[in-house]
Amino acid sequence: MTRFSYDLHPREKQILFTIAFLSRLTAGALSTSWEELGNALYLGSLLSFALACILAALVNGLCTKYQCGLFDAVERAMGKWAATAVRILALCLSLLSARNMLITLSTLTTLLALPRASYTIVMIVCAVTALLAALCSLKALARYARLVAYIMAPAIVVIVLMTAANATPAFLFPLGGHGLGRILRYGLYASGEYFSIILIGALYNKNYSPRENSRALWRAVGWAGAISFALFLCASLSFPYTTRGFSPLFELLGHLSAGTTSQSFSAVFIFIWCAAFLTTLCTQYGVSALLLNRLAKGRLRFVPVLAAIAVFSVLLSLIDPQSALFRGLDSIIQATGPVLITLFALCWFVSCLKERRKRKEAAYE
Amino acid sequence: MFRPMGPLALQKRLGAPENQDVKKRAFMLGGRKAWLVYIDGMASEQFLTEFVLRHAPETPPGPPRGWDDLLTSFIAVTGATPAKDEDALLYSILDGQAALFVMGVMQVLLLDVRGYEKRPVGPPSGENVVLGAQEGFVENQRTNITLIRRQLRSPDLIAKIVRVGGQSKVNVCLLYMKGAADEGLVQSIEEKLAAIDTDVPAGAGFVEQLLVDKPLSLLPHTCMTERPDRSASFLREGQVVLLVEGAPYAIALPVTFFHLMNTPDDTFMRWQYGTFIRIVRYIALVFALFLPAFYLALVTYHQELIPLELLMSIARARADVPFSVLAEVLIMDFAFWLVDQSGTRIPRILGGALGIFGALILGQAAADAKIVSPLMIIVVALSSLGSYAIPNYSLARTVQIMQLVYIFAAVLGGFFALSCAIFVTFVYACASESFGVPFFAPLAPRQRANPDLFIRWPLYKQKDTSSMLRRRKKVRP
Repeated sequence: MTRFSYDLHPREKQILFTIAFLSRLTAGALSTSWEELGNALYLGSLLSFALACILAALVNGLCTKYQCGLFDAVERAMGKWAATAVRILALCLSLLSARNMLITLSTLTTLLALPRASYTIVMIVCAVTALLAALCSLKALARYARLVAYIMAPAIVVIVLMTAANATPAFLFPLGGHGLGRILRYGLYASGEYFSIILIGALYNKNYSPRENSRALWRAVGWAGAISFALFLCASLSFPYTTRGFSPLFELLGHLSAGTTSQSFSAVFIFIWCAAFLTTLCTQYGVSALLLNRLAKGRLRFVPVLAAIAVFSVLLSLIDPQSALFRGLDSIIQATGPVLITLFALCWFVSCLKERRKRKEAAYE
Repeated sequence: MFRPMGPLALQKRLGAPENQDVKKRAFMLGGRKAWLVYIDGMASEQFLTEFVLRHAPETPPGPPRGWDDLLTSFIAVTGATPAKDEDALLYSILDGQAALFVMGVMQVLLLDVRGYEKRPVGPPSGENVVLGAQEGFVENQRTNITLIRRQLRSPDLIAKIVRVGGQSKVNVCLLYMKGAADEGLVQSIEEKLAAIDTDVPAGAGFVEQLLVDKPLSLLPHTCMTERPDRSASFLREGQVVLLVEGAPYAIALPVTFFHLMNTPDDTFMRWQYGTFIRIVRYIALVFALFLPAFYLALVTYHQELIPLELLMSIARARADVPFSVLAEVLIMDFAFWLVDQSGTRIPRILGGALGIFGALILGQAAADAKIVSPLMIIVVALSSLGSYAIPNYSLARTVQIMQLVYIFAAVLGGFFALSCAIFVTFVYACASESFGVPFFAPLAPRQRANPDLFIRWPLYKQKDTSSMLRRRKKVRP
């Protein structure tokens, strides 16, 4: 497992984290699987982002307090069993998140780039591609993400400029017609999934100061949040939600494909979204492999584990969306966000109590 | 102390009498009998006659007080050292030196009287520049070291000679700048050179292949150059340069993508012109890598992205062509590779004719015969020209192979498959390291370094020249 290790520089972590966060946020907006959500996606994204920030703050706080990785911090605060439970939960979430990323990428590809292609084959191709890249290392992935970021930046500027040209401020905050329940449901769902991404932020490197580790995490959250919400805002400024079931960014892509002036940019967008989604998928494979290996006390072999994870993610993606199993798995994601926030808050509380007791004992002695 | 064999034994060891170019010459030195053993043609007989044999009768009789006395008084050869061991003795003679035996003296003196024929220094054949020196390396290692020393007159320039190989050893000169080069890197290269135990024919390519960490990697891990000024520039940046005996090239290592893409011309010109030609070269690289694949993806899967007029023009051009777009690309690509290969082997005088025949007649005839469409000829010609604009030969070949990978990806799944192929190949390139230095450094991982990457900034902004090659431990993402 030398190729896969937690030994990431905070800046490497930051770039991977930013890409993962960005692609997750845009994946939410691109997704067409939630019917009649409309603006709930936008508002739900805001809610989930806020919850993700709370999660990130708790994770960062625990890691900084104990100056170690998240799981070690949980172990020190609550004991071995709590750390193992969080690891198992994190593994489940990482796999489910990989499934969601695979579904979104395959849907996007079959709808926009290859309408005649088989959905399953596209999904397998995505998984194999991610697996092949994951065989390098998280470090190589971070380097690639940095290269792509140089191309991504002008592309995002182009999107913002193009959509801002068609802006209609009347659609800035179209709140009506969507229930609070839906917004909450989507918000909770997404926040649970963000945890799998926050895991990258929780890869604490002891060779660097807590400040550097912490800064990398918050910079990534800041960058990804700012860029994604700029895109969301542009999309909501430009497109009225008349079509049910279509998200704003999806409409934006449709516009790009059908338009006359901007049509030649489509190829660039396909490349960029593919790169961002595949990087995230790869990272999730890598993080899942790390978690699984840690649970197996380092006895697993690198290549078979990654291959097994890729196969498993494809199998998970092939489950019928209407089935009870699919809904059950989604319920796990939906429930995880609040559960983890409570758990980490409890960890924090317990650690504070322990500290207080130690201080008292020291004062007594 | 090394007790050498006698002249007769040495002659036998060198294969005499079957080996008829091993010569032994007896003469009198200080009233004692002395012998010179050398290989005819490798050692200069004129040197031996003029500087050793002519002065020998003038030597006063009596035992010489030692080699130093002999050297200072009678032998007018600058390079003269006692042989340290049998291997050194044999190898030195095979290298063109002469062994001097004196009866009653238990040492052998090696006289550097190498005098084989060598090519004079001329302009480099594959790395021409518009401005700048017109000197290229030759096959003689000593001349090559001198050429570099003339460019880099610094006492910190270290030149170590390492003998590499199994039975037939080759001299490899390891050059580096003390203080600029990573000491760990120099040591690891020395160790790797010493560990080579296969017979190495004289040539830089063999040593390069035996040195690289990942022989299966498609990307070049070293940079070969035939220019002394470029080698000096590499040395200034902290790289190690290897000069292999018999090779008119220097091997620089470690290298990054930017070392392979930049040329001496960029530096010799003012920064504005240098930047311009550099950007043209990078566009050429993009053309060489992606243009045929991009065209294939557009025509096969994403016709809606092509403006209507162009689409009609493509349809009209392709109407009479019986082959698929993929077959067209492969036919044209293969034709260009053929022209390239035959251009390399053909006598130079016929090169121009071949170019005209290959590029004009073959292309025109193929279009007239409706085998390929004219647009395809333009696409393939642009991409091929792009690959020739890449200054490094190994990188140009890598690009040609990668172009094929991208072509097949584009045929299989348009932009989506192309994006997947680009993703995998670039992640592998990012994972690749040349002797501990990441391939895309200092861009990914990001490092504080000389900003001379895509834009050739003015020279006063390029002060930090050595930090581009921070090795793995020190790199920042």
